[in-house]
Amino acid sequence: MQISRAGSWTPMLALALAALALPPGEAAAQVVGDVGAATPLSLGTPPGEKTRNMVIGARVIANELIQTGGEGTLNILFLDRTTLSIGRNSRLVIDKYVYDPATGRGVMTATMAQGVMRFIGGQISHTTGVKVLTPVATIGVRGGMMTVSVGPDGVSVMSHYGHIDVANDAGHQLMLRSGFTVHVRGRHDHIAMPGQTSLQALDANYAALSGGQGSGGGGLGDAAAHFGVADPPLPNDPDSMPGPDTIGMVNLGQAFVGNRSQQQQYNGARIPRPRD
Amino acid sequence: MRKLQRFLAGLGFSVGVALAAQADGRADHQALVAAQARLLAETLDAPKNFDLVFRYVQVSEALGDYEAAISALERVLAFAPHLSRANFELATLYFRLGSYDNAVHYFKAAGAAPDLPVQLRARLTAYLPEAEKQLQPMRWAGFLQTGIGYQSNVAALPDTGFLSLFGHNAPQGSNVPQQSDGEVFGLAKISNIYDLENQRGDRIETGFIGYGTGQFSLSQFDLGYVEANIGPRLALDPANWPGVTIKPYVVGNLSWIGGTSYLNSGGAGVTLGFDTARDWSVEPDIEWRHLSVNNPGHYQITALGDGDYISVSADGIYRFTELMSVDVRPIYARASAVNPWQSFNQGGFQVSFHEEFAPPFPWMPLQWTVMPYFSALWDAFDAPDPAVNPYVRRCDFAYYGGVMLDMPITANFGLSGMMQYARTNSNLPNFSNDDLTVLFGPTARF
Repeated sequence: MQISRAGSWTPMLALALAALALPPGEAAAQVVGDVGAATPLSLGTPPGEKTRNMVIGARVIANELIQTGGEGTLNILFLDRTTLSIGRNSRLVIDKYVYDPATGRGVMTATMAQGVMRFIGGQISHTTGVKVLTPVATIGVRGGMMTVSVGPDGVSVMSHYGHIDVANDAGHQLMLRSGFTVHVRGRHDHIAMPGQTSLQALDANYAALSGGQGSGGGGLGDAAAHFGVADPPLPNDPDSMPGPDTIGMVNLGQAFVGNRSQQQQYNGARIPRPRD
Repeated sequence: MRKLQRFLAGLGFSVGVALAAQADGRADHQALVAAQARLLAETLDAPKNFDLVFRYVQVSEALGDYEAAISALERVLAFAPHLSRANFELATLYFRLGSYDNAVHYFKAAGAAPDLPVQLRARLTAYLPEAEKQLQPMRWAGFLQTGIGYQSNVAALPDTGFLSLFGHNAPQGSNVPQQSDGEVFGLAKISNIYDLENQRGDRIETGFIGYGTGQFSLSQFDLGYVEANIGPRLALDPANWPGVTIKPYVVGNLSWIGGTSYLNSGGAGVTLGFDTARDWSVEPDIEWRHLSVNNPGHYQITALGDGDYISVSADGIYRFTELMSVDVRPIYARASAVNPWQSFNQGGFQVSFHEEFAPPFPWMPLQWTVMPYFSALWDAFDAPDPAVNPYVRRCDFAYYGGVMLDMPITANFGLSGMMQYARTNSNLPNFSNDDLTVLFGPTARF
């Protein structure tokens, strides 16, 4: 990794020091991200190491197998601002993560074997793209957000933003719009056109990603009291308000009346007296 | 003239303030980028410090990095899933990104929380239906207004008091001098989008606009105007050129003055759309129409006559912020009428400055909007009109400027008004006039 900006030293230094503080096997491994939120039933198994409980602030190691149980959820925050939220009963490995803060470029590949994951892209997805491997399809993400669910009947990919390409041995489908879902049944099965995401399916994924009463334990404390970012408001819909088009309309109407009037003036049409 | 100078001074001041703010914004951008990187680093070190997280959200939003803000807020919800303001904020962020299904999910979660502040609950009444509407393949939007108005010179009578007839100035004779009148008016703007639901984002757009007046006294100048257009908006290359579209369309209008048909037209056009950036968009357009004009009387002396009308225009919008923008519409047009004195070249522009601001009461869901505007048009006719002056080719310079105020009270109802001064200077006395217009009344929107 290259480091060129002063503002980028701190996290890199922290991660390096953290790596040194890890057991010898972990210290040699590459730290790829931090656990930002976790329920107790979230486990990590670094390569060649014992399985451990994932707790907030824990470092995530390259090739670490991440597993959640029936109540387990996990949120991993990466240096390039990529975020993975991993839902219940999920299994995932971060195969490769390389990020150069100076250029904003890098490589990220993950393998998802089971469960639900929400991906929110950071710098890497905006530049070189991110790849997610599943048992039946490979998903390429560029500048995007998506939710992937892997189950016995195949893989569903919900697009929330950006360009998402879903491919298998039979072909691929490119999703360019949010609110659409692609379902892949098998590695050799034809991938149907993206269909509009149902709100029920979306809510089901949110439920799978939710930690119930809260993944962090302990809530936000005083911070919630001064949380207030809901400004500025959304702009009004220009199709539902007056604007240059309605002003143009009024003036066009007046121009018509003026022309008709001038025609009448010249041809001597007498303008009638006002009505009583 | 003094009114115009004051208006231009006000418009110039507003634009100046906006440009100054823009310059400051550029200087702030680098500081925000640095702050975002620092806050992310601190957040990685202390993931349970939520003051840091909220500052990170604020900075990311200020940068327009909505994905970063979303990821941070969704992590907050992992700790406090019922935090209503975080749910509301996430909904608006997804809305901004066009991810309306997620916006609906979070708006509903925010609405279910009893502690959502009054101001945000009011906005929810407008935002949630709008997000739900965006999920439908068939989407309607509209603005309706009625009310009363006033015009100081309804009939556009010349302010010189005489007419040019065959090259000689003559008193207006039987005509009355400039006369003001009150009116009732109605205005409708309705649009429909039929989403073809492909990944290209192709859709069929239909637009309708109508305007009508009923004069209190000068009923011979009652106006009715309706116009409709329809065409597919097609993405050119959505994977590589997102936001670049082309829209061929057909257009037509009917109009009536004093209960009799006036100007009807039909034609077609092509619009290119470049909506590729967060802060600007531009839509060049070329349109042809055939005009059919009912000009009663022996002499055809007005600007509008039977023939063809071709216009080349563009609509450029620059957004200083989400709530403040300037809209510039330059136009060149060529009218080729049967009579050469009704054929002309036209050039000009309309510029409007759009600013949304907080309504006076927190229970009002939508922003209020003020829009000062100005337009100028130059007309140069092909040949003198022998009936007016066989030696003088008509040249006009017309401008108008005013201010429009839109005041939504609820998500669907409100009030709106506009005040405008218009003036036409012509080298022929018949066509020089001015007019002051005031319109005000209740509105409905959907």
